[in-house]
Amino acid sequence: MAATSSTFALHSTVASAGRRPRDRVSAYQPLPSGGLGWLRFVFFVFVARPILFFLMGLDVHHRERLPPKGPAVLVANHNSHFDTMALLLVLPLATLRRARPVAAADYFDKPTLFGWFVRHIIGVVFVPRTGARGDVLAPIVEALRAGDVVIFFPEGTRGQPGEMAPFKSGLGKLLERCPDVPAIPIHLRGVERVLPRGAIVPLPLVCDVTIGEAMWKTGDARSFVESVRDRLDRLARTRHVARTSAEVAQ
Amino acid sequence: MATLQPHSAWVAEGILLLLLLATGVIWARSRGREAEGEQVELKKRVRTFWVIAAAVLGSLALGRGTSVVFFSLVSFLALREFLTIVPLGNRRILFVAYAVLAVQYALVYEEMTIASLLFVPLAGLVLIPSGLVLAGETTGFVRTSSALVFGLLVTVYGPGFLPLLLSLPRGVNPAAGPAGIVLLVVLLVQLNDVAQYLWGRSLGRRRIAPRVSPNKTVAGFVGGAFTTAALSLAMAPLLTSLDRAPAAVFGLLLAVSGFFGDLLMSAVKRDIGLKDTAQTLPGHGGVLDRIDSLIYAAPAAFLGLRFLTS
Repeated sequence: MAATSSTFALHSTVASAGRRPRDRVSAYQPLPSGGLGWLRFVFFVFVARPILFFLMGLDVHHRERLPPKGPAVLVANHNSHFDTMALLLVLPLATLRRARPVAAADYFDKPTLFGWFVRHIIGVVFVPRTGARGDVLAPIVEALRAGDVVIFFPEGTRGQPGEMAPFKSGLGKLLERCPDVPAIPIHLRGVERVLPRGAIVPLPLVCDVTIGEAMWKTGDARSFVESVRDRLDRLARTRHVARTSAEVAQ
Repeated sequence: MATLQPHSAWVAEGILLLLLLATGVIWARSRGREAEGEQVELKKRVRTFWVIAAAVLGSLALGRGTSVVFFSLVSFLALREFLTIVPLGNRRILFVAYAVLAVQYALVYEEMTIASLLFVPLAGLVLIPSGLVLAGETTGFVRTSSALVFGLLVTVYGPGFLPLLLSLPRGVNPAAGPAGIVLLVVLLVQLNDVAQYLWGRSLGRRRIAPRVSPNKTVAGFVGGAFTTAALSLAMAPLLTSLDRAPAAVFGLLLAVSGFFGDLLMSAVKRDIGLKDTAQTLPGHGGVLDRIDSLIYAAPAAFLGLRFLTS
């Protein structure tokens, strides 16, 4: 199950014996500039956004809480490959240019056209999922130092539809090293119906994107991660209340 | 590139002037003060109305083909909202619903009028249940098939009569073109909403359907209907070939059908426990919220023109 998931789970840095060749710590790669940077921009604005406009209606709540510029970590729940797309869609153009999803190296970092696309156009920061030697967080820390907006799924896997899996502690460890960088919790609902695990054809539906207030690292890594999780849980519920007829009975 | 015929162009300009006036009033009233609460909503509402007016008038001006494409997009967004708020078990059958939408608008585009009148009900009778049968879906069979057929009727079949009005042989005033009919129907139905609200707020006491929509009052309904009839009396002879008396009847017809379409969507949302179907249109809610009064009014206009014109 975990082997097919898209994002990374952070494990401690000690290497295990059965290490696969690709589970190395990838060197930090800055976002493409120049021609490739423009290609990236053109792809998002003129290809991805128009197509996704049909596939996913996005109801964005508290858009004003999105960071106007980096560095920042967008933290979201994860159920679908389209989660990343939903987040990239709601960002203002200036932020979009610096947006970089974090994803598992073993799954996405491939020497194919797909791998090239993921690396240069989507701008993914690769991290090893299991048993890597060395500092696995280094590429993300570098990206944040460069002022990038990093998209991070602390569940580490897409998990069960509509449910939040336990959070890994990687997010806390990351922000321990970048205490000035805000974490923006973002709750996604309905994306798992557009493209569930295992599905190939997306079904057009409306999704809710609820953006929470920025959080800064406090306490130890584990408790911080839990507080982010609580915030996401709360975002999931507040959204629901705002829509019930009871509140707008008049 | 096609443009609107003179009478339709006048009305289009009138709509834009009305919006300009509304924007001016809001701007003047909120000047120097931080807008808050209701004011913010009103501002959003008017801004969205600009977008809606630009889209509707623009597509009508560009001709029948563009208008059909535009209305198919509206239907698509409405169906997408419906399928979101009414979650149904079988995922595959939902693709069939989108396919029905595509075929229906293709028929409208090709001006195959009789086929487009029959297709959605027949697809609801045959394709949707058969699809579920083939999928081997027996749990919730009745619920899923009925909800899907209902969704298609509400988001595709009903509103789909609007672009069909552009291919009508009857009712066209040469000085307004076929676009005049659509313009009249959309404008009257929207103004009926406003008139109903204003009459209801100033005189309304007795509620018509307190459990479904507490805002709807007898005074609002009656006042709105007469206002719409009067507006139709003034505008329908300009935009269509309707005479004065049939024009007033046409206005009443739109007012009554618009009212029930509105109540229909209120009941759906009440059932699910939602206020709006989405937030696609700031200040209005979802597309389905905005077109609710057209669900019955569009077919009513189609039939009305059939029997009220000679």
